[in-house]
Amino acid sequence: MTALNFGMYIGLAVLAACMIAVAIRIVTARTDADRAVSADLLMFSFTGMLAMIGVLLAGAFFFDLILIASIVGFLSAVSLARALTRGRR
Amino acid sequence: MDLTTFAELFGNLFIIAGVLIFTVAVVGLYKFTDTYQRISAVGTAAGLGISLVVIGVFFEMPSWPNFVKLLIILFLQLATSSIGTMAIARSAYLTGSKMQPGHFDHLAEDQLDTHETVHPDEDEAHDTDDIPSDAGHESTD
Repeated sequence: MTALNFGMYIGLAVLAACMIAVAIRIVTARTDADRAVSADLLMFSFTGMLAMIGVLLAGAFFFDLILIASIVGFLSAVSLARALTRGRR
Repeated sequence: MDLTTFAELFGNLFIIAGVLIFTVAVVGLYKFTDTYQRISAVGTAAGLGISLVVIGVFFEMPSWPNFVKLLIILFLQLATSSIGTMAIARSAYLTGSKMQPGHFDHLAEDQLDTHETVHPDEDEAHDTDDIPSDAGHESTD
């Protein structure tokens, strides 16, 4: 189990680098729309990282955590879209 | 080679494929010059990347309850990520973020067309409503 999990560790490292790059992009973006798009990608990459950390910790309920995280990701995307238009629809 | 080790190897390949899609999305976030192009890159990562990573995680720990949860996660992710991405794209259009010059704004052209053609259609509709009703009364009389 330990030697064959090469993809998990590589994926965790690459995904952490991606999240750092997206966070830098949120700070240095020019418009608010770019910030909203970057925050959306940050939430989705957090969901993927949660899945891999759940397998490495071998918890019993990590699939439920991914399920909840995907729904919260959708809610955060919709509320980011709402906040981008300052509450108007 | 055991079946479980083969499944773990298969799952690791899926996870690497999903992480590669995330990496492509981050590169697109930096290299694209337009908000809408960035939105298209992020939408791909949200749908396909999460799905591939979760399928790979399922091959690491395969069981029947996990399979049911995997199906629910795939359905919810593929159904809702596109809606969230389109909501962000719509709000970006409503707040007037600039499109890269050299592309046509079909939404603005469509709005201009509807504003021009709405009033003649309504007048014609009223006329056509009046004429058959009168004709029908005459025929019954």
